[in-house]
Amino acid sequence: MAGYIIKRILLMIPTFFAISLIIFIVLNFAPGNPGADIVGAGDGGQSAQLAGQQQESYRIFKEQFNLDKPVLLNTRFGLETDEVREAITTAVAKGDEVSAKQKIRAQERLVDWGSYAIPALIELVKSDPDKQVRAVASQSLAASAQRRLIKQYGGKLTPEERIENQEISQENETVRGWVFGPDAEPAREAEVQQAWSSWFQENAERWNWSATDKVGILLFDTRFAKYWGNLVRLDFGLSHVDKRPVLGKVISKLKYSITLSFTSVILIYLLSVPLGIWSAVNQNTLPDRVLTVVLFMLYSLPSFFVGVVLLNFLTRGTPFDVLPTTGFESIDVSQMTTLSYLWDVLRHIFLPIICLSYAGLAVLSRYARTGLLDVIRSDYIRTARAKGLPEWVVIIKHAARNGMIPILTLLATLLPTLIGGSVVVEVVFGIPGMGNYVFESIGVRDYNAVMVVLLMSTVLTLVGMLLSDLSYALVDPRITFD
Amino acid sequence: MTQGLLKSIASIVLLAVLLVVTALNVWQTNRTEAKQIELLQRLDDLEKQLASGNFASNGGGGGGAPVGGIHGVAEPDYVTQGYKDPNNMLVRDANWLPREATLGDTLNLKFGSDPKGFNYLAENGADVQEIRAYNTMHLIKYHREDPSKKAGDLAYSLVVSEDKKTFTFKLREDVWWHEPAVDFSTGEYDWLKGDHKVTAHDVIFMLDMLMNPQVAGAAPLRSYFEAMESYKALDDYTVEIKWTEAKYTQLMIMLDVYPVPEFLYAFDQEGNRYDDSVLGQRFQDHWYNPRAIGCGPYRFVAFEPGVKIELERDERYPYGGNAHQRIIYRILKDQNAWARLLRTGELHLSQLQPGQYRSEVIEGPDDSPFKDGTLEEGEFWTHSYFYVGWNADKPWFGDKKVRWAMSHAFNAELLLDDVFMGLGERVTGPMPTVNAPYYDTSLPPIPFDLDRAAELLDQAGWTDTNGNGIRDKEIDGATVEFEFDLTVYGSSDEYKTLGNIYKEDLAKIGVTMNVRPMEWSNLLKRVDDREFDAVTLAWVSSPDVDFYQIWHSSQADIPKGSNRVGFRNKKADEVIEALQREFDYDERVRLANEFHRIAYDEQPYTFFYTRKRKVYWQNELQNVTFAKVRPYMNPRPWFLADSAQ
Repeated sequence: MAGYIIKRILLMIPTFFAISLIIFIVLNFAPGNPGADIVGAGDGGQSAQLAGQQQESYRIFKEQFNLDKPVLLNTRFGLETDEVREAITTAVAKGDEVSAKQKIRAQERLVDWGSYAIPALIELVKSDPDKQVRAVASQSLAASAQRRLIKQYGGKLTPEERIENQEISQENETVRGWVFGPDAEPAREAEVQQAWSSWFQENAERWNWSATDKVGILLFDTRFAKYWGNLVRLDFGLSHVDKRPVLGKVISKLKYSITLSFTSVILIYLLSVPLGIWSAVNQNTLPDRVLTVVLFMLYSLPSFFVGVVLLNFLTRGTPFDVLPTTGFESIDVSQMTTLSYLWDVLRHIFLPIICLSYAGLAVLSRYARTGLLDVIRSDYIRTARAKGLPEWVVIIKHAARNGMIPILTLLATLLPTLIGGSVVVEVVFGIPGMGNYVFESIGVRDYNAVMVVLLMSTVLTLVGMLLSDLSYALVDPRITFD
Repeated sequence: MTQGLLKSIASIVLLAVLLVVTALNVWQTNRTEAKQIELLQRLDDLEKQLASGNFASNGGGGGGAPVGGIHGVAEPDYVTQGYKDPNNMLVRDANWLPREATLGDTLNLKFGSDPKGFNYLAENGADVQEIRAYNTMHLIKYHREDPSKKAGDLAYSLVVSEDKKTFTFKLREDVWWHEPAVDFSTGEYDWLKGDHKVTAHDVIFMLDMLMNPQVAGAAPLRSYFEAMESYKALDDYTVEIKWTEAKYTQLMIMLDVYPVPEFLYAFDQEGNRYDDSVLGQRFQDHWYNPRAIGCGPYRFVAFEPGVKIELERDERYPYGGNAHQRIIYRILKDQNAWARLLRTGELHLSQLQPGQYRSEVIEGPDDSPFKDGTLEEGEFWTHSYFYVGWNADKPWFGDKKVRWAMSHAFNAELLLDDVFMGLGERVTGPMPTVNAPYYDTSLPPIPFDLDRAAELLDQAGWTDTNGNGIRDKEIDGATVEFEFDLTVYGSSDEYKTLGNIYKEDLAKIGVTMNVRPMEWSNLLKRVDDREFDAVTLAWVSSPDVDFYQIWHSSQADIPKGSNRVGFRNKKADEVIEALQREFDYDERVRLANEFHRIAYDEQPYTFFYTRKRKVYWQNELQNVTFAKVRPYMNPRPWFLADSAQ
């Protein structure tokens, strides 16, 4: 048994890796940009702004979240001068020669290449026949040749690092100045060209990659590798929306979602097992049929509809003025004792729990019914009856135990839903839980936030499947894994 | 047998006793807890009374700061003198509160989503701007009733030099930073303790951060400061800003300048100053960003994502106009909850979306609080306008006649009345009607007239030559069918309905339009890429007009520029540039009107409507008025009637 568990756990690692790869790819290739909201939006309206001025900030933003890197494989070490030149000419093309889309993509390419484009840009600045290209190349160089500060995006600086950072920013300052416009004086141009070529000679070894370097860049200077690099350190990254660590945010939402789903799972089991047994015993009688119909109707009612109906009839200010209208708890809970707080929460989550439970109740009680019906016809039940045991002992003690095995093992697969939350119920009842959070994060392409939630449910699904396999062996002695 | 029975009885009794004891215990604990809470509450009240000076004066309290009531403190002499200076551009703002107003308890308002953070430079969502308006003071602001005037706020004097290139601000000397919303009890934040005055250096720090490229969130605002030559503090209460050229937009943008406390934002959580090389980045991602700090009428207390934002009245705010002890913004993401909480009285005031307006007010029962006087009704005009933009670089829409035809085929009256519930007014040009007199009210809206539209299309050469029911035209040797996509914002049913009605009308004159609903982030990308034929969107404008970014032809060729429809017009360019340089109000009105007429004549957009918002509030809330300028939901003139307390 122990050997089996270890084997399964070890197998989980590659499975997890593969799943994370798939999620990552799907997320990163979905249409839409994470930075889109930097441009400002809301209410279907926008304020106008000069977009061209935002480039430097957008570049920093992309760098912070590794969005300037290729997703899976980085082949930028082999960047050709012609390719860079083409990007520049596209980006500065006038009029109708190229579409706006091509221009934007070309500009993004130039920014994303970053330091990989430097050798090509140096060449262009020095010797391209087109003055316009030379000028733009100098401007791109000024942006790409800047070195990243130590711990630019967080972390405390030691005194030595402070000094080094000051040097880097001084150097960056100088480098930023080495630009000229398309109508610059030849003297100015020569001066800038001179500055760049001597700078490049000094730093040339940075672009002399060996074969191993190239393999390293190919595989590891990518979004996915960087993400995994952080992941093994259990660093799930920042939300790009508010720059807070996503893990902390998710954990703060768990309180709400777990309370709701845990209570509703317990409620489902408490109700569906007796219901299932009862209808199995009374199989095909009128009450059983009525119950079946009712449960199927419940199952087909969408929870957003039921939620709104319940809210409109049972909350404050409506016909039955009994329950609070929205939220997980009252607005001011600091004035409550623990007991009254519990009562307050209970009143608030009563309706959401009903919404979360009724559909599951319908499904699970059907499982319970079938499970019992399966065993009720077996030989040992007939034996038990033949022994003269009362009917309820036969059902509860002998049949139910075996009949409930399938729905017990279902419990393990419910594990991921514990944290997943429900978007619909959480929105309707104003509960700030996980479902709400994931939904909003997808809308703004907050990759890190979506990743952490999906990875958590991946792990829980894997664990849940293992547990459900193990529970088979536990409740049924005929199954072994050795 | 009897022994077994006795045993059972004994254990049952034992269990019962245990249960009773536990219940007693729980009850006892609960009572102690309740007492504790009551005691704490009393202590709290006592502290507040002490702070607000209800007890014998102890030399002014709070570091010698004056304590302002809800009507503010008496104006210092230097401020009165300052307003008398004929060179001073600023005027006093109108009074916020009527004399009979009294201090009220909690005001309950709502937001529809979580703000992303409260660093006002790094975030510029509408909700954050609303919080900003209560939480902090700006250098200057629009006069509450007359948008053509600028009123003093933190600055009481603004002198603009003869050549319009130097702005000199004089700041009030009696303004204090709120206490940061951190937990001082742990001792961890002792370095933040103490009183801090708001000085010119805080304004300079704001400008420093604004101009720092590492502060990504400030990029939109930064673009307006390109022509800034220098900025410095001449002394602790004087700020001087110099520009390389004279432009009216530079004066407009001063309304978005406010102090930012260096004593907080330049430091990490342990109180160590950040290194200058990374200061911008640290500021952008600052540890304090989930909370707000300011020097305005309301102090930030707490933010619980998805639950609420709590603000508390600040006693030291000099102007007054804060008649509620507390403002709580509940975060209600489900728009249906707004109407529900209005009905139950849990919200004091809320606007209604068109859908709720229909179900609660138009179709609601007569005894609902919306109709029986429990809730009062009002409305205000937004500074936004909706439009259908025609991409002039596409084969169909380069021709003015075609765009006029499209406008004639757009049944704006019907859509406005039936789809948008009459919550608005038609616009004829590139600004909302509240911008009048910049907005030229003499231009008539283009009537819905399919015959006229068909006629114009005929004139433009679009006829059905191949008999397939769709108009076509030969362009550069190829036959182009008149079939295009209308991109609409997909999360709104109103837009989809608009698209479908428009589609049917266009079909009647031989034009095929396909409606393409899209979610926001994809829509924006498509528009940036100029990959749309036509799009419905809205622009939000400011009370002062500037048409450069949306309409100047130079902006049509910039990637991701705002002139997405490719509007290029020499005459318009001249007017736009002249308007940017003009400081004289009457002349500005004339130029804006002229531009309005050009845009009307060219119809680069089919200008649709400007939105009016329906607002409902509990009748205990008094003096609910909405300023013409930035009306949002500004609670400052409001107060709660005495009976409600």
